Amino acid sequence: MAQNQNDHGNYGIFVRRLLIAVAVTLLFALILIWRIDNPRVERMRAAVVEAIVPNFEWALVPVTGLARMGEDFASYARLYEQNQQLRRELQQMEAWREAALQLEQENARLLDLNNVRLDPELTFVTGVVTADSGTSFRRSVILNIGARDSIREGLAAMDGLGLVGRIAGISPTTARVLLLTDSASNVPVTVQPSGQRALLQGDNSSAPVLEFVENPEQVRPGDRVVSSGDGGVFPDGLLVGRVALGRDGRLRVRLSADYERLEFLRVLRTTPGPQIGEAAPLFPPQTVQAPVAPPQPEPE
Amino acid sequence: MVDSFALQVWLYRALACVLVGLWSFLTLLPLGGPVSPLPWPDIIFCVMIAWVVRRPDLMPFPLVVLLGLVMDFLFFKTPGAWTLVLLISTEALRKSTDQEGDSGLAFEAVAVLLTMLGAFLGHRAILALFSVPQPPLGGTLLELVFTIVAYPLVALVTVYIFRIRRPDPLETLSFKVRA
Repeated sequence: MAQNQNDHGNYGIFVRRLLIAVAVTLLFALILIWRIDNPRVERMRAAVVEAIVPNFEWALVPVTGLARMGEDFASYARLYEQNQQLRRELQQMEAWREAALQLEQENARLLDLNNVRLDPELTFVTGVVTADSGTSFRRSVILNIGARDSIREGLAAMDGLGLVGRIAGISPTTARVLLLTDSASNVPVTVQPSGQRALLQGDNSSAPVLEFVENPEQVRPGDRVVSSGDGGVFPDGLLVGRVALGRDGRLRVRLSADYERLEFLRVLRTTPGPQIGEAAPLFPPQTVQAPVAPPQPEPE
Repeated sequence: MVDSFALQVWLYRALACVLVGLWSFLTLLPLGGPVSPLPWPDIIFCVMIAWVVRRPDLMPFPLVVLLGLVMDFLFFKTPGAWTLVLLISTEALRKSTDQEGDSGLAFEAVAVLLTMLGAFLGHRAILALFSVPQPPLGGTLLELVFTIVAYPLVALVTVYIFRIRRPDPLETLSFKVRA
């Protein structure tokens, strides 16, 4: 059936086989290069995404809008039910609001007393989710902000509620956010009241798994999970979600971020903290003899 | 006459590009939605196989490589791995259909089934060879099953809507004479 080859006879078939062998070799080489020099190939990938996705954007926007309108319309059907639910929640929220106001005042007083300065180097830039990239096994979205907005690899992305993921892959005008649910996502976290350190590992389900918990007995479903600054991946204290016990008996995290509607994401621009390499610079030569302070208990 | 035949071939190749574009577009829609535990069947893989089995000249191997690479890059897969699998499986099918000549439906079913099984296992083998972290085996097997189930539908669409059929032996002869 390969009529193009038949008229050239054996020569054509030979050339064709040679070309296929070359293609197979090149593809193998591509995988190998990707394994060895990942950033270079990922830059290439970012260039491809940048070339293709903006071309889709004019069509993506109206289709997405229509689909969301459809979802909204479907939710009108359950209006009464939702109204009741909202009323109940509102009542609970009133109580919470009162508590929050009091706590805010108290917090402000305490901060004032301690002369705490909030980190001025934490700024953010907000981007719009332009595409939902990835397959059944990769979870990531593409934002319309990129290197020109001084975004770097590894920065944290949040929606208004909680942590969504980190920047992995960047080009001048687009950035890819690897979601916490992706199986390649590993984020160091702290489980709040007990202060247990753990690693949040995505596994393609909607609730990532808590791994390497020091003392699983001290972690209860409902505990707050926040990012810990360990390993310099993220700034600490970003809300991630709440602990839940999965059906398989593993500790999982129900994410606070609204993963069903990722529309606007806030990318936190942090500067890496000073790296402490050796012991010497920690203790600068003292010129003035400091007054000897009474021994204080170690702060927790 | 030769011109119209060549035009038809190139139109079908363009159609393949459009199908890949459409599939990518649907996948890229930022609707999110709940994370479904069920993977989608690999429709593009089905399309390539269905075309190669019927009219190998409509799906030449450079087109397979090009489309495979674009999708690998766009969907953040390991670049080249799935393309390699696509290339090898389409070539294997091309060769077997070439040799068998007049092959029936049963032959196609068995050949496609074996090819898909080999493709998914081969993909995992390649990823394992380069020690790339992989999704759990259950998900891959589920995707394989869905892809196998989706294949007959894709083949029906190929035959009855795109009108891609195996040329009759007589017609093949006339192609050869013409080409």
